[in-house]
Amino acid sequence: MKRTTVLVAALLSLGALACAQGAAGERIVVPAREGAHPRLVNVSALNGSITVKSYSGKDVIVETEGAKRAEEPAPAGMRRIDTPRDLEVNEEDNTINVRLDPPAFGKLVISVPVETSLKLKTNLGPITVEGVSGEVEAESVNGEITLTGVSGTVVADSTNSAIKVTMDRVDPAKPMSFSSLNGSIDVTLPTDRMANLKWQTGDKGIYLYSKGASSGPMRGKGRIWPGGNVKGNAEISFYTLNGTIYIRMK
Amino acid sequence: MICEQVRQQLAEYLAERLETEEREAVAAHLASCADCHAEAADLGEVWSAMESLPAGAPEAAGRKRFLEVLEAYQAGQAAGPVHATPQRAWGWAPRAAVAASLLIMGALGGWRLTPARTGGGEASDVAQLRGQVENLRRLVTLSMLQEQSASARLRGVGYTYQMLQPDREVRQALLYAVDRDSNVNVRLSAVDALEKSGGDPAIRQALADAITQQDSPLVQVALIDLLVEWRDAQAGPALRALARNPQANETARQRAAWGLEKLEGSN
Repeated sequence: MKRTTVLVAALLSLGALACAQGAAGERIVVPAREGAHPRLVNVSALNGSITVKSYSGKDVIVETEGAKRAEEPAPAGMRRIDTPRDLEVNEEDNTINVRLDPPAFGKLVISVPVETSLKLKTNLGPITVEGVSGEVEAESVNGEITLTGVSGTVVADSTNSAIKVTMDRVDPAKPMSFSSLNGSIDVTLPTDRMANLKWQTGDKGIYLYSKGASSGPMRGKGRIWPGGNVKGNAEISFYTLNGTIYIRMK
Repeated sequence: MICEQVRQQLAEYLAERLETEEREAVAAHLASCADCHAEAADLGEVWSAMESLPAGAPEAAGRKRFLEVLEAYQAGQAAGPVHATPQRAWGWAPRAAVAASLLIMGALGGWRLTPARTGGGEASDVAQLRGQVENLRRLVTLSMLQEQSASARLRGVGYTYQMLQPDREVRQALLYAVDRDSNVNVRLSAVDALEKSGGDPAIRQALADAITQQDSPLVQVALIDLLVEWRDAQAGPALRALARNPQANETARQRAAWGLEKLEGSN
């Protein structure tokens, strides 16, 4: 397996990626590759926000805004000769790893081709995804998770904030799951024929909106098959303790 | 077309190896018979899951493991071989699953070609076939629980719902997922899947031990709820430790105190 590791410091000399740094932040372009595996963008931004949006191009473009750390002054009579960076991007077998290290509190904006799978993780910041088709995993401790116009599968968890997901298309054979301890979960699904739903809620319960009718709140553990129990269709699970769950069928 | 005939042809139907006329006859029957449709869907799920397994690179131990599967099959062991080392024992599962599937397809083909069969023999063969499918499902489950994708691991957990009774190795894999899986949703799903294993004291103890090890308060709450549902007095010390831990999440601490109260009230 050919391993291609590109660190920011070596970008220009390798010529594999295009990197630019301005006052506003950094920009790194990871060229398209025909890999053995589907493209996966794996992002970790401990204190920053993550925004991923699809575009018509083939490359993955990673940009930061405001991700600057406080510089320690150089010792008297000395000058720092390397360039301090908080952003690290590397690529291996069509998996693009993006890491925004603390103490950077910046914003990470990533543009990807539509057919891209994502694995996104942050502690403090929100996660926003628009128009991506693939397997999306999103995890934030304190930030909201907002996924709009997503197709494929979603597995999302936010400990303390809300999750809002609007899906254009789902893969009925693959399970999805949404969880939040303290936040609400609001998921809009494209059809009610494929959904075998399972939930566990606290006092606030779960509401279901389907074909103009609504039901709820239902509380505790439960299962429902709005379109009939279609054997072979995977379950969609919802877990919360202190939030409310809203499931909307388009 | 009677049900038994259709079920003999299911494997070839799913593998798209039937002639047009036979395929249409099977499809027509499946459309009108709920039981056969369910059987086909069940088998189709396993077929479909196998297709999604990654093609693993050959390894030195592969031949030995294949022979282990073959030996188990020949001995008629529905449970299959469990001779691998305890640690990560299911690492060979993708290759073994493919091997087992080929053996089952071979068995199905041979079974179908046998001209004269008695009613008792058919029943026995169907039972054997179901045992093989159950074993195959088990291998696919263990393999999928190791996938990189959280959705695939959730799918692996989901297969355990269709097992009559997950065996020890599957239960261990689910416990491992509860303790170690990087994704909170997979951990929650694994807790759900272990709900039907409450009769096993070792499982109850392992889940009680997992409470204080968890970094996700939502998983802690799910574990507490399950142990309270089981009225498991063994969970008392773990709940007490969590309720008194000032570093723990406040919601989880409150739930632990609630659970402790419930358990003490029921004893």
